[in-house]
Amino acid sequence: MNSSSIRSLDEIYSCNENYSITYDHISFPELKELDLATRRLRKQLGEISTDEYWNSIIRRLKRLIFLFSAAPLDKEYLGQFLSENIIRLDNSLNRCKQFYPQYLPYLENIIAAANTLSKSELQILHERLSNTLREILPGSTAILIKETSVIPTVEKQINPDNDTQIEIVSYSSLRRDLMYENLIVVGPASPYWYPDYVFSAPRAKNIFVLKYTWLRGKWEPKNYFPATLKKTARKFIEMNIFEEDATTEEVDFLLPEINFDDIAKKIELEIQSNPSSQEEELVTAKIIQLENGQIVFIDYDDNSTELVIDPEDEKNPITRIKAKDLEPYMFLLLRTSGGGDYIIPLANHILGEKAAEAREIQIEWKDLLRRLVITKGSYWVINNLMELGSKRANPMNLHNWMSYRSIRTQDFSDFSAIMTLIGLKDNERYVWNMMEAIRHAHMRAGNEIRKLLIEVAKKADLSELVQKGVLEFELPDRDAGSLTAYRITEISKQTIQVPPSKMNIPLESADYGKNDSSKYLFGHSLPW
Amino acid sequence: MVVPSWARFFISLGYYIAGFNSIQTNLVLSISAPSLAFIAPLVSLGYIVARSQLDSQDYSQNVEILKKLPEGTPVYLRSKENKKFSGIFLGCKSVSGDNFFIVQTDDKYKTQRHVKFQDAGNIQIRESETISLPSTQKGREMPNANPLLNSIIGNETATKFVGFSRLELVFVGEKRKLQDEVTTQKFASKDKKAGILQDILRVKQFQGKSHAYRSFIISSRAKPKRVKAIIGNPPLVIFDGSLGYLKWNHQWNNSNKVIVLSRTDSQYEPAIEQLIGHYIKRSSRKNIPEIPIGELPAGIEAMMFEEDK
Repeated sequence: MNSSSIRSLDEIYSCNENYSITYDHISFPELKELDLATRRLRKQLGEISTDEYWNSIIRRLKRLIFLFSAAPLDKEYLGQFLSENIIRLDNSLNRCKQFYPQYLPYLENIIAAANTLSKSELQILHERLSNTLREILPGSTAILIKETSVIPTVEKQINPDNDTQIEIVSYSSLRRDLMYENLIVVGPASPYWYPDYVFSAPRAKNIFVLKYTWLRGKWEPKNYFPATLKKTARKFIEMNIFEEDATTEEVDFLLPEINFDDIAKKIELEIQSNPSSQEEELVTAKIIQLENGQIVFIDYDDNSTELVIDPEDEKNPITRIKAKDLEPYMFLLLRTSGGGDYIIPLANHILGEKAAEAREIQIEWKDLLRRLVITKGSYWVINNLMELGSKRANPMNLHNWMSYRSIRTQDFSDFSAIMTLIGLKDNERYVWNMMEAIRHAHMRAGNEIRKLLIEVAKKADLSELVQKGVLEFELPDRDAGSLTAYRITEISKQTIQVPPSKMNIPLESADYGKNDSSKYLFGHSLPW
Repeated sequence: MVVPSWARFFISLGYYIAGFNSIQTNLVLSISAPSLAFIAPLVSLGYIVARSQLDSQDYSQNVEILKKLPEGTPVYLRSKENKKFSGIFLGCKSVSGDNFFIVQTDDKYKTQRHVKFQDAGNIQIRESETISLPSTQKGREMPNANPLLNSIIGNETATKFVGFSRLELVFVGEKRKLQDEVTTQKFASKDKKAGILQDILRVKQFQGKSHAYRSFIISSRAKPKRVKAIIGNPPLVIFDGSLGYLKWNHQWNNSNKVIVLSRTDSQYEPAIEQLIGHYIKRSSRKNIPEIPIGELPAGIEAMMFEEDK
């Protein structure tokens, strides 16, 4: 474990005695105009803003302004992103004219503001960050960026010479007992943007906040307890470079939304509208939001466990803990590609001499079932299976049973009905046992691959994980899939009922919440 | 490096808490800090050293306790030769005007050892309700105290300290973190006797089973019911982090409590909410405005109140 020492703590307490926050209020009128025009449209739209057409436009605009406010990227990068968005906005005009003429002026204003922005100095934040780096006191410097997915790009653009004194960090890195001389915070010092501890438990004596003039975001010291004991006065200095605008806008408007209630409702609707989901045994789950904005449903049963990775534990970084003990900031390990083609050869290897016969039988009964579906139709097959005692015969399950990727039915009564219908009743036990052998071999193969992946994870450079919040571990030279570690950013308070097929798979929150379905920005995922 | 002032403050805080004594209420002290590291062990250092006075105090208190002890209670006895015996308490007796406690130390000869009242500190009540004495018993050599411990609490007290277990406090937190803090960082006394915090805190789980302990750690993630049954009500519980406080807060009605929260903790805000609820139910409406042990270190916020037992 990278333990804290009395010496490093001494630096932290010493910093708490005397530190400064300098706000650099950056003027960017072109971006401000786009932001205000977007807010005006959103206000005018009222409830209509949740309609798919407007929702998509507003989301994209918010993402655009957020990126300009959160990522100190160069003009080439930002310009490309902006021009793509202008094209999309132009394309949306016709529909607006046709269906929402009353809002046309607002949309036209936005397009005009976006075009004006495209002709401006796009990389204002990037330049201000470069200037700040030149002007600050020499010494170790951390640059805090909210949007972790752009960290590698920012690193290349801001620190091309790999100056070891400069480190680009995510906010969770500032929980460590590690001090810097300077901390440059990109974006407003708002609780919506960064956790309070960035400023209340400082890890640098000199903190610089780069924020736009019209965005609200100054940190105010506060008491945490209702009856606090007499405190020692901190020598806390606040300085301002230029001034904040007289009226400022809330920054939460720009941030991606994850609404757990919406996700829960959407899942419920999905189950109701999908008869096969209703027949699946539902699992009590919590929704976990991951660093890259995706979500995952985790079994919240008393006994269910999950793999987590602790980058600070050098000896044994991977441990299995109760799902109920998961917390934000932990790194959850999920299997993100399922073993690929390697599972079957490895499973056959485990089956040994039985493999050929078992696979032949597996293909044979599936072929017979398929032929019957082709000749008689799936409804005829389902009805007959039900008459023969099948409890779960339905179109989706029938589809699964026919698939060569599946091995057998969950329940023997379903299997027995199939065997009777396809004429293998006399051998049903033998076939079932063979399928059971295949299933066991697949489970063992899956576990072995998982163990290999864990070994790879143990050898990996986990500092990258701390910095970016997401790290994929591939098994070298084998098509055996991957594990990905994700920092947990939030866990839903309520539990919901989820079909097992959706468990433990990172999903786009956009498919369940109100967020944007497009997650990629020039190859980097964004948190919505 | 010299022990910094903030660290000395937390040690003094432990001393201060050890002095709190109320039949009707528990003291609850909460700390909000920029880092969780070392606060719990330093507070417990002060607390355990202060409580070690019980090992060397006027023997009359021990006499009173032993006078009320039922016959047949399992005890440990330290002999004049500095050996430790298992024993069964057989009550007290007057011989030629001198008062003695009687302890049986073997089964075969039913040997009865007489312990003068002024040596009552050599008898320690065991946790187990019943024991079976060995047929004969030679006694085990008592371990030698560590130089750091000797230097801080004095040789004589230190000898008793390492010979007998007494649960002074329970930590509720992350085991690995606490173990790292109490076994890795070197400390030295004013007279340059070096050691680690574990030499004094003697956390049961971080040492051999046969060693006498003074503290115990419960993982924040353990199941409360099972552990509570093992440890009962210690004089002090230190919640080392938000998670333990959120999960274990309601477990001890008869213990003083120190709640250490780091603002960097993922569960800091829920813990603060729970703490406010805890404060609302406090027993005294009178707030305690400051701790009479000096200024709080910069960046530290603290709150202190009493709760009904």
